[in-house]
Amino acid sequence: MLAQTLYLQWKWNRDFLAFFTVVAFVAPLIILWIALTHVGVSSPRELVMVGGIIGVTAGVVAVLAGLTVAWHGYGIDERAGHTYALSLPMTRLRALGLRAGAAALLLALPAMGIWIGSMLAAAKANLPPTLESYAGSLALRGLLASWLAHACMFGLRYAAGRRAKAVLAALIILGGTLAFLSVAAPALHDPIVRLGRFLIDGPGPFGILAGRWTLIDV
Amino acid sequence: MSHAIAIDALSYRAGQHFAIRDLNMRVPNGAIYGFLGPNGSGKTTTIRLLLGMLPPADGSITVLGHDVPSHAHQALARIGYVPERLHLYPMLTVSETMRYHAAFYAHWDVAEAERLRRAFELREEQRVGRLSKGEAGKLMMLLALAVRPELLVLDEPTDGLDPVVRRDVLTALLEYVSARGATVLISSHLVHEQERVCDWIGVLDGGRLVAEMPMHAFRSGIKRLRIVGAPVSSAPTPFGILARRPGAGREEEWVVRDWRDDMASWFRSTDAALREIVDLDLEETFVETLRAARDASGRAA
Repeated sequence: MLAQTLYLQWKWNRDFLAFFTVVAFVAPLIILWIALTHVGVSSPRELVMVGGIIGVTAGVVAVLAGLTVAWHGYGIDERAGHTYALSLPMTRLRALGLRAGAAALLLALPAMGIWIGSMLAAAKANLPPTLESYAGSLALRGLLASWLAHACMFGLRYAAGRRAKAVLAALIILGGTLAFLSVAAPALHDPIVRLGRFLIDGPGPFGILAGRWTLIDV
Repeated sequence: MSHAIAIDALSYRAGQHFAIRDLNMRVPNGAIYGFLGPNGSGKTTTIRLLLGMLPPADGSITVLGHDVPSHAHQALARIGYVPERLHLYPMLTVSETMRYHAAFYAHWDVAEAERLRRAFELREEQRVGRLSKGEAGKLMMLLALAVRPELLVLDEPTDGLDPVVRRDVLTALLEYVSARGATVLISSHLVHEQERVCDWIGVLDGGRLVAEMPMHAFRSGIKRLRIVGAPVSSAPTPFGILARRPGAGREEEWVVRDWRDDMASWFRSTDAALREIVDLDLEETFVETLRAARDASGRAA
């Protein structure tokens, strides 16, 4: 069952997965190439900064991959009113488990892209002895972040049903408005930042998004 | 267990205008049960309820001895289902769809699936999303039959299919049923098709089951009578009166149910003259049953 669910999800999501895997692979290489050849980065401090940019980019790609696979993957059943999925002889919990398991395995592809791309980028950077590369940790964090994003988006689509697009649009508008206000209205900056930290830093799965996302560090 | 499907006091509401109210239904084991009703009468909703796809507001549903929806997955393992619209994944090919479906059923019959695929002339590599309506109907029937079900639930399985495909699909269904003695619930508004294959009939209208009986009783028990000098009062009759319509002069047309030939003598006792007894075909019987049910519910309201 898992093999067939995995194959179904692969066939349905493969274009997006290929895109995010390629982006995850080339992003560290491109960022480092620009930093070394165009910006002229050379000091350890600058390399750490570049590593941070690569880390955040990898995190964004991983989160976007999770969100997209969840959104698109849910649509496969929604277009037929979930009739086929509901007519198969399994409990809803099992169906959810199969779907989550397949997504977890497929999202390993962008994470592998992060890992290999980051390893190659770190090797090309000729890091001084005082610096270390953390390609494996970054890929693992990316994988966990993509799972979290997938779970959130899947939950949103399941809970909101046909109103999912409206709910998602409202969340995006809310996030954009808060970001704009935090810049445009200095009085609101601190409360908005505190709210963001409360959501991410508090105990719970969102903690994976907190902390330093970096490829290169001491 | 004498019934493949037993529904008691089932209620369900969808939106402001549609509701299934106090539905009681019995599909005997081994029957080919025609589930008739006009468009929007609630046939598909009832089917989705009995497969556990929708949660009932009230009442109980038992399918092949399993409570639904709590144990729907156990019932579904023994059911072949063909929905009214293509529900399969469009990017999979025919053979991929067969493999995917097979993974969920312990009794999947590989040889039978392949035989049906060849009989239905479905190409293995063809994408489901590119199948014609007829090919899609055949594929859904193939999937339903290859799981070797004890109960087949078919929701408008031949709607929109051309006569040749319709014959192929119905032939495959009848071959399976005659070989394995499976129970079939077949929903349709194509009355003549039901007449050919069904031995039980249930008529749904406005979310209520207005008739449920063996096909022979449904067909033979309902007659149209032409009467002269019919009694005015609502005197008790040995048969049920579904409709009374005025005709030319003193003539009246009655549509009656539970009719037997010996009941003609009742008219002589009322000084009325029974001029003609007309057999109704299934479509006329269906229409008259619906009319009578709607008249009765209108009077009750």
